[in-house]
Amino acid sequence: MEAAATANGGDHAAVAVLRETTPFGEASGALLARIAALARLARYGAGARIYAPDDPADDIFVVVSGRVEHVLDPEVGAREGVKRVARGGVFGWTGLLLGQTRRMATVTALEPTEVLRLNTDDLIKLLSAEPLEGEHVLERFVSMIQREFTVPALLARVRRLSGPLTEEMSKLGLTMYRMSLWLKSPRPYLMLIGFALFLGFWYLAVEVWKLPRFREMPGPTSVVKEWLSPNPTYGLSLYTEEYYQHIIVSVWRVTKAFLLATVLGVAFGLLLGWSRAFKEYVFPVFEMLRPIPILAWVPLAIVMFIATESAVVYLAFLASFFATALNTMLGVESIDESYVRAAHCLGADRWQVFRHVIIPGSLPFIFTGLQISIGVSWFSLVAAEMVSGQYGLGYVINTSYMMVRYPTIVIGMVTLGLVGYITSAMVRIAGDYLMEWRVRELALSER
Amino acid sequence: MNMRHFIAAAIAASLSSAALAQDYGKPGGPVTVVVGYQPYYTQSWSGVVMRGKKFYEKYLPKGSNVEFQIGLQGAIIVNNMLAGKQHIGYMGDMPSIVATTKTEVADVRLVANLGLAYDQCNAFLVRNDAPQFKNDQEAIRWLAGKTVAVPKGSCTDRFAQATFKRFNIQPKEYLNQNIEVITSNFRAGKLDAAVMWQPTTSRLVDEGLARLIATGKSVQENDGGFLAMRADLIKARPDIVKAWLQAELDAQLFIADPKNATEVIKMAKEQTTGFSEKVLWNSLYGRYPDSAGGGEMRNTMHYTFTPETRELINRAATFLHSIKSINTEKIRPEAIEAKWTEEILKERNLKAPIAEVKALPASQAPK
Repeated sequence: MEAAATANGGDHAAVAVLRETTPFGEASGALLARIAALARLARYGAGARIYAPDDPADDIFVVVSGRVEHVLDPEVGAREGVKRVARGGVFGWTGLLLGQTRRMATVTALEPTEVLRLNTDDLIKLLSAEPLEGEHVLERFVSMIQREFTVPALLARVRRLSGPLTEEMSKLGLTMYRMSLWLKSPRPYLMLIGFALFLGFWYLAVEVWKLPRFREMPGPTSVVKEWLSPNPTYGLSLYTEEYYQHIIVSVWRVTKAFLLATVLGVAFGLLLGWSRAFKEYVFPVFEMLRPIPILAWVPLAIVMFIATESAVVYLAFLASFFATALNTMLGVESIDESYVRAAHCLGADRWQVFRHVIIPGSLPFIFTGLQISIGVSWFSLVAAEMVSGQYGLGYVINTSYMMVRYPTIVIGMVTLGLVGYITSAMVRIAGDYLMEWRVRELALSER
Repeated sequence: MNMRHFIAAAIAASLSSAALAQDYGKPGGPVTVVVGYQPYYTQSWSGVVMRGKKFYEKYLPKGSNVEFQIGLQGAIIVNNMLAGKQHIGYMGDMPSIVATTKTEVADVRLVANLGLAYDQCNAFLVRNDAPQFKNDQEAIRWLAGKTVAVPKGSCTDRFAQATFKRFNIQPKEYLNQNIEVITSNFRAGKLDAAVMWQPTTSRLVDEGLARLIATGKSVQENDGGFLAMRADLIKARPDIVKAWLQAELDAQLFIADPKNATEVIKMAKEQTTGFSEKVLWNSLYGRYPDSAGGGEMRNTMHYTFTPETRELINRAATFLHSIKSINTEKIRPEAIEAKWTEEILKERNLKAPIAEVKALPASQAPK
């Protein structure tokens, strides 16, 4: 016997029970209140059938009190097809699955049972309005369906939220959508607050409070004034062509150093991790060379390379190479030995194991190494460009130090930081894009 | 210790260390001063002698403490003086002038001259396999279209640019490199020419990495060194200023006396690394061929601010302003405190220049 009732006056109770569920348990109070407003209370007597296979999958049910028996159709392939669901349990989720519009289970009330009924389409619509939280709720549904109802991962794929996030979206549209999500999240505002706090402290410590050890530093006012001046006192500002020349030269040098470090570092790291004999020969020398500061390499780099530019790139490359190679080696060593054995059992030869197990298996570490590598390349630049004698942000910093031009030192530092941040972000984005499979795998395995 | 205590302790430590750093004590009482000096710049070797002979002990109040810190380049001493970590600095002309212009950070003033010369900083070197030149004039013309390096903003930069202007020549590349990088580049054969200061000039020549082809004498462009002090020290302890300058006068006279050459070189050797006694001797007492800009006079100790020293300061300031190293074309008048040295010269019945270092016969050079 079904008895429909609105949740009027029962919103608090509805929110409380929603909070006890796996999918909605981590949602915000505001979202829960809006979901609760969608809910309709229903009552079933003991033995009443709530739905059967092939019924329309219109509503999702949340048990408020009592118990139901949930029996999945054998075709679903669940490890445990029968499940009893009590308060806080959620069933009737079939409507959320991709391509499913009909029920795949029989649900019977074992005792007098109260449930909240949520229309699936209305719920999806509501979640689409809060995409960040909505995505999270759906991810929790996936997790629940796989773990609590033991439905295979292949079937437990839920619908996407409606709105702009569709398969047909263009790359640009997707980027804009992600940007709008980012803007709606607290992250950009926290970032701005972080910068404001940093600049505020700098201003107060140097220019207002004039704290000891700070008062000798250039304040933000003098730096910004110089930076924005069409006629800068020390010759370098946003208005001078030379400023952009320094940036371009440095970016080009770091790009060359980074690419070289990636190609050689990954290859070298894979070999280190893959071949024990190679590692025994080479790793002690590698570890001895790795801690040597870039500055110490300067005289040798000058003598080793005929072209000055090669010496600069070599110096910027060196630390990046070590970071990439080491991470790659650790990536190879992190691969579960059983994968290698399994591949061998399936008839894979050494090269095939290397290509199909070792390389993809170490990719997460390699990308971590690349993010470190690009940063390391930037902070090697000041030492590297000591050799250059003409251009580059490192050269600007070094020369300004020697000529005691404090505002220009800070302009060089901040510019180097900004350009370094942008390049690091680009490497991170490229890495995230190439490693989406890994993220999905981790999400599905709840790690 | 929790985080709050740690931060409080760190702030207290930084405040107290800063306060102590500028505590010069009361006039007449002992003082603690930190002296930045350049044993790797021959013209400022009175700092080396002050450290070695401790002439200051005779004049400073009993119980005073002097710490010497080596600066590989003048800029390092300037930065330390501005930060209050060094109170007295021995430097070349360019860093000395720069130091006086950073009043927004700290007030630094020039109190004495260490010498004027033509070849202490102003020495053009070419790679060893460069052609043999008849004289310095021909050698300078050869620099057109060549790769030349200098530490920019230093006296070498001023000299190189003045030379290019005088001869109306343009190098192919004019690089800014520090002396260590220039040395390595000469070793790697990547440079055609560079301007260096002593004693590195002598070392490169001695090691056969480069040849001296011209000096400031070739184009009548001199160089100089100065003694700088923080204004807060001058204001708080005039007795210390005078005491130090008395000792400085002794040090300069000591250097200029040829009888002391061996002892000066010994002290310089002890306070540097990588330089032989012969190289150090050549840098101050040696004589280079006249055809390469060499001459009998190696350093003239003006001690006080004579018209020649003031002319050099004005010329150098104009140059520094033209390359946007300083924000003023002329240094402020109060940045030169001549009264101390003038007073001492009067008391000791001396006249500027107080002494000259003349080149000695090669037979006296250490083996």
